[in-house]
Amino acid sequence: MHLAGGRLRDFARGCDVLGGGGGGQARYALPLAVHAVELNGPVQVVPATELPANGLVMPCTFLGAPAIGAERIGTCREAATIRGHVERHFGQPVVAMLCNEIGGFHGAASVALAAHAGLPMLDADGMGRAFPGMSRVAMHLAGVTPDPVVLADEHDRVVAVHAGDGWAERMARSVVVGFGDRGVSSEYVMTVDQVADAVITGSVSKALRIGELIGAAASVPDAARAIVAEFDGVLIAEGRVTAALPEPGRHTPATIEGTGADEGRTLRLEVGHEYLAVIEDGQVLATVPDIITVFDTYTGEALGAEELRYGQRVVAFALPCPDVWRTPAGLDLVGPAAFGLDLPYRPVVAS
Amino acid sequence: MNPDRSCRLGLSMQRDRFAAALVESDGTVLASIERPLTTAAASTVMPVVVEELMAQAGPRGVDLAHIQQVMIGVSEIDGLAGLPGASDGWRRWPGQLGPVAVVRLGAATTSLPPLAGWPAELRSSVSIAEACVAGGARLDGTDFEPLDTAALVAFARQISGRVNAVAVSSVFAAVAPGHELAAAGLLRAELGDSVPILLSHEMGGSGLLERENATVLQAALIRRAWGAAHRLRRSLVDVGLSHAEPFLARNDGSIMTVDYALTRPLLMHGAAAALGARGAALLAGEPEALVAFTDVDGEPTAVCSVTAGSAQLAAGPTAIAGVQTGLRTVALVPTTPPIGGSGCGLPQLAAAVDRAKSSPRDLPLLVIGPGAEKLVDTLPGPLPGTTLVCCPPRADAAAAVGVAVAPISGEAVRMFSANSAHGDDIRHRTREQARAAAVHAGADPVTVAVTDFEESTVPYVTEPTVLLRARAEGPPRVGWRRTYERS
Repeated sequence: MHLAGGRLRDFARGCDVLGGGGGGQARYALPLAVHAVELNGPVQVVPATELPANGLVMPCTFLGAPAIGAERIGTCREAATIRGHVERHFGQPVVAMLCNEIGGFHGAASVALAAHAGLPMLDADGMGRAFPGMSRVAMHLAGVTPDPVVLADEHDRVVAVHAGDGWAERMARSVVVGFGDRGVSSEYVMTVDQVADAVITGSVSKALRIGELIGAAASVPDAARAIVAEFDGVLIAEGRVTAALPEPGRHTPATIEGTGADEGRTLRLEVGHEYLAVIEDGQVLATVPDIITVFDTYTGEALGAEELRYGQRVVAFALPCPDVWRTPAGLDLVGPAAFGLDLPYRPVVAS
Repeated sequence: MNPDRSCRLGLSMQRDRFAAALVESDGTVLASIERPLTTAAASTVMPVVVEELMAQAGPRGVDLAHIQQVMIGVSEIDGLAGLPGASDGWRRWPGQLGPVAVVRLGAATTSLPPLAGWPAELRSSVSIAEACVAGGARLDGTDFEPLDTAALVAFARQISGRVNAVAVSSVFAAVAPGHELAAAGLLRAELGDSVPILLSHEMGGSGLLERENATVLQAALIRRAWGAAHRLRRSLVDVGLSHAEPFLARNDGSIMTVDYALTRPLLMHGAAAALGARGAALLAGEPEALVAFTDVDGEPTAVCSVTAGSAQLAAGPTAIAGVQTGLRTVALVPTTPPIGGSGCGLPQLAAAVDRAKSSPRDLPLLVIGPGAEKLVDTLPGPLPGTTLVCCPPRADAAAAVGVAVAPISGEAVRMFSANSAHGDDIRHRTREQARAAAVHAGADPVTVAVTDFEESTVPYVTEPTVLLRARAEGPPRVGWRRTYERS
């Protein structure tokens, strides 16, 4: 399988769905991916089984503030610079790139980074959705060390952080501050034989498939139904947003009032960087780490948490998160309490 | 005849219809018309406008000599400017599109080079050369890269004699425009004074790519805009209005002088919607309202919301000729959704009304455009979410009234560290820059004033950073002296 042409658009749409309202919008990273593929050719997507067991898998992602990234758009060659340093440090070739965060902007951006680094993408990612923070990845739960964190800016300034777990993210963030709030980083570098239990497998093909389902659906609610049917999710409701106060980084509730067949229902949506929970009549319908997605039926876009506005016509649905997040250790890291919610985790179960 | 009397003539052109109004300096609307358009060009419309408006206003003692200003707005610029892929219906500005050269100051920005992602046809018809050379700023105002003057001079020699204009953009130009200004000096020395050099910081807007795209489109249109301005002034002379100063309407519903618009033709995009909203609010006396636009058959086409008498602008960028630009236009909610939409009628209107609002508060819905009365007459009853639905007086020509009474505006945007010791000085200077921008666009220097001053923080940035946005408004200048007469 490879990513190029129209598949890139499908893939980006799927990334936006898996973002669950967080991670920024993949549609803004799509031009980067399209240009990178035009320049370097299609990006191959490979399963771990097709790679040499002792080859290195390199996660790679953008870090920093969106307002800076809008001006300092970078080269995407940062990934190639980082690759060189990782190979010199480990004395082994990197054989594939791993997308850290499939949900939202970073899912689509990782295609651009892989293309410029001349690497195929592993059909996997670190989250299976979007989360804030560097350590909310499956690699962390599997005990893979993030060291060394290798960071680069667009002028090939490179910093390698050897700080140990717990300190890696802190130190890496202060390096990015030194870069001026924009950089590219790689952490949790693994060998291929480490990968099997340490990543979310199949994420890239899942996002692509979701995008294909959206493209084939006759209407936006139909797309939601098709995704839910294929990926064991639940359709929550169709409705209109009757209250929303999006503020970057703040916890704010939004209200969706049912329309059509859902007339008379009132849903409370807890909104942070992403959609955190859906509550109806005091009953929790879905919470993090399951993926709550809200489609705007008017534009067909998956709405980012900060894009929610009064008056939007929407369809909301939830998809189960990867199993690793449903373990006790996983819920400690990314369960409702980790996002400041005093709610029990009630897994989404397909009806 | 009262020699002190002063009137403004407003003209708003859509693709296939136009509206015109004559407004007294105290705001009284003396005459208005709304008609289909055979050729969407000011030169063919102007004689009809003057004849019909004067037929209405003449008996009220108005003479052509009383018309001191002529304000013109258009619905979209891409068709008018002859950009490929735009809808037909406009008589396109003749002449060459481009050719331009594109310079980006910021070598390490090649993840998307200049014009990457542009429609191929447009790109090849607009640009002959693009370059990313070292330069630009960082958020703290220091150099992103030192300006590569040698590369700029080499590029200038390569394009010399082959371009009609040059578009220059740079990283964080809104924070520190110094490199753009220095580059303009170098380019001018090589290319001569006759080649306009457009700088992205003058276009405003954050986001390197959107700002650059807007700058390139403006540069490409300059030759055509010159021709259009010439024909516009000539058409005023032909109808006996050589003494009246022409103004052009812009995206946000304010107006600018023709000279100002010459290097910023893109700003004319989407003006008609903003003017319609302004006119509707004024005519109905409702500064907080929703405005529905209609077609000639009485069908609603779009809804927008009005606060403090002006249309609300969309948060996002505006696509023109398939290119994302930093231009902000009215947040119009079409009654036909962009996907899966069909038909237009009452349920679609009600949905668009709800979507155009920013809160559940019910607001009056002002219906304007050629089919306004027809739509209001066919409404079976109250519309959900509205306090009333009304058709203000002269609703068909609301956009023409809106342009006739529009102010001139200027904006200044500035980012700086919240820890700066010069914060108050920077705030003061930003307000002065907004006032200066309005005067530059043609506002009366005596009465122009800062009407809006927003201060916010840039999210997720480690160094606390303040974003200032100042807006000044004022009435258009008076005392225009005729400088152009048919010999």
